[in-house]
Amino acid sequence: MGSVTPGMIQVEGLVFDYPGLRALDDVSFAVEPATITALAGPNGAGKSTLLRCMAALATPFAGRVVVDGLDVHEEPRASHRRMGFLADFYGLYDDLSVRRCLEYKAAAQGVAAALRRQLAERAAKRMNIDERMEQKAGTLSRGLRQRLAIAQAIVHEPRVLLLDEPASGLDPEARAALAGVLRALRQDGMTIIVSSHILAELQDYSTHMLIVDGGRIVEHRALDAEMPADARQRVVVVLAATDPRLGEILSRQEGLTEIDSDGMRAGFVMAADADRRQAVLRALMDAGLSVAEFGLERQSLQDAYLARIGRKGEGA
Amino acid sequence: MNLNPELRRNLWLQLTPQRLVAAPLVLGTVFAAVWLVFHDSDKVRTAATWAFYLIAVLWGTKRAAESVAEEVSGGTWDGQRMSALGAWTMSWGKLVGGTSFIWYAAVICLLVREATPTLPTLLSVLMRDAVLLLGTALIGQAVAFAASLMFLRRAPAARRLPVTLSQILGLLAVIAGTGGFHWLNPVWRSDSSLVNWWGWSIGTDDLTLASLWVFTAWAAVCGYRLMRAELQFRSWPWVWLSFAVFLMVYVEGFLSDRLRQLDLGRPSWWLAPLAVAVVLTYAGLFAEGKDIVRYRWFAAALRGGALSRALGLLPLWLPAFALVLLAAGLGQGGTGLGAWHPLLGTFLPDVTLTPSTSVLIALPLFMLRDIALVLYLNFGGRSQRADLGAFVYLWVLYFPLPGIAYSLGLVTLPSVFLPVDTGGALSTIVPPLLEAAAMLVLLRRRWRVATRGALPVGQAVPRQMD
Repeated sequence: MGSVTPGMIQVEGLVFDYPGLRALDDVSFAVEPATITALAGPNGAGKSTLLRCMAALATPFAGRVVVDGLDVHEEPRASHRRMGFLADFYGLYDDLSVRRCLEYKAAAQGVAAALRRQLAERAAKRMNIDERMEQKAGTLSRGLRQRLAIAQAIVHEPRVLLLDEPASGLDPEARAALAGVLRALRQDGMTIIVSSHILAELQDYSTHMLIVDGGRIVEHRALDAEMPADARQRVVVVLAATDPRLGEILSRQEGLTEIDSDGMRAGFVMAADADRRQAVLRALMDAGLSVAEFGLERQSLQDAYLARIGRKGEGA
Repeated sequence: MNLNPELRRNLWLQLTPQRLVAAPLVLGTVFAAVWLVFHDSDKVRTAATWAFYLIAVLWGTKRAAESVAEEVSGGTWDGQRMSALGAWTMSWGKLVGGTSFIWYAAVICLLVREATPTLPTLLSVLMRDAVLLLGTALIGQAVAFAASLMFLRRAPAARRLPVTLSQILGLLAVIAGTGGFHWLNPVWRSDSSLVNWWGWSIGTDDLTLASLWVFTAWAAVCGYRLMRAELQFRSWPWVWLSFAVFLMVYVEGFLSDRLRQLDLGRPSWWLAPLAVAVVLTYAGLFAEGKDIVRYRWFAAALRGGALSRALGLLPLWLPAFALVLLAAGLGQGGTGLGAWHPLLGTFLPDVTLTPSTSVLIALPLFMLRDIALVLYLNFGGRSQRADLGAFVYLWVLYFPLPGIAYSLGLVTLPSVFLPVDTGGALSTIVPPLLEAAAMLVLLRRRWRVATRGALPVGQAVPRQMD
């Protein structure tokens, strides 16, 4: 991979092996502060291994991870004070109250005794479980347990939060609440990486996408980033009334590819150039077509993921 | 209050108000019942003693073994490893906190026992008795705790079997710590109240008590070191080497006077260090996980000249084996193996076990063969049962086969299986040399197959941890 620009998280040349398997192969990337990165990839792609290496729970064969200026494998304890992590299979101390769970976690993360209660209450309030402080963790519903688990991960107010499949098993309402919490944490300046299979929900709050496949980064970009000069975009045209000339007119335009038309609706790929788009629209209007809609097709996170993974699959 | 967070969490979970009330009520009822039935304080004392052993030793070793295993099975271990707690804080917080209720109940038993002496007894005797009982329970718990961490590193997903095995190891430590294995020590006479250690005559009870607490401390250190590894701290093998040296000195203390009395005519001080190094080599070999990935890291660190990282990855058997080579080298021209222990002297009586340079060369060669065999099996596809398989192979090689050869009248054949001098340097050294060479060739082949497809060691830049 190429050089990595400094960020809140820097991963450089990470290599991790299991017996007989290379799980991460020269992985490098950087994550900017106060962003939410959606970590996506097929099962077995290396997402959890990557998160565990970043959390200093697993030691890589080669490479390094720097979080907020600290090499996490050189200074695991110090870096843990700045990080929160929620594993995909997490547990809680069922016989402890929510308050004690949070105060223990704060103490274990090195929070001063005088601040523990305050931070525990703040984390509970953020996760909307502050009215259940005296309830035992074992009596909470699944959604509330998930909130408590995340509250534990953020109770010491880390600068970086790593979440591995945090929404699995949650109902839609709880997922929406989780999205709101993550957005709020980001607004507070936290840098978050979320691994999930549910890409549609990641779309709601992610600012960046990181796709891992076969132990390698296959795509890492900002979801709202400006297109590079040579980028191509998919454009959609919808007519008010069916016109069989639609496809023919489009095919005569220079630089259009992947044209797909049914006479009423058409899609095509062209250079990401506003002037060129305007020229195509003018051609359609000049031909007398009743253009009702003309614009860029909004690519969902899922579409981007499938396009990238699918392209790779076709090429394989 | 700045109490150890791990200790405090365990106290919250273990010392619930209900338990705090129930324990004295239940135990008090039991002791009262014994008194009402027998009207004999001696019986109450016996009951308190048994209750102490059941609670502090039997239950205590189980609780100590479960303290980490429960976190793993409950899914909270990753959260703990992500904490900012140091290894020592985590270790004693778990060991003391996880067994806090056990100790609450055990101390009640101990107080009842010491309050009901059979004869008017000096306070110092009572104190000594209490110190012995406390040490007995502590060594069991400390060993069970350390063993559970060792098993965790070997098989992170398993829970029940490692807990049971850890508890068994803890109980064996209790038996050993209280002198239960003294019959194995040829210079520890059961009919004598004194034992000779480094020329000093020491009361057997005194030495047992002192040894008990010293080994308890070593078990606690062992648990701490394993916790360091679990929490991703880099550890060099100095503590392991220190323990090896301590054990050599400790064991040699029993033998020095005995060997002097035997007047073998040659220096023999290296015999105990050699025996200890041999035992520690095999202990390290079987106790540690032998993940090929870790060995590849080690090889890469060595090739890359990253000495600090290499030391952090050093397999425990390796420094112990180096001590074997050192002791065997120093022992050249010394006395033979059969002289220092009557058990070895009676084994295969027709075979010469007397001074032999050849034996001291054959011994490390046999060990090299064994190490290669264990690693060969572990580097294979099904490495989970590799140690058990290796153990069976080695048992067959060292016990039934030489016995069969000897019973068939093939007096020189045992040197194929054992480091014994059967009359000539060639027949003593060549067999283990060939066996070790063959196993090393097989091991090298398996290593190549197992690491095929991975980045060639040296191309990938190992993490620079130093």
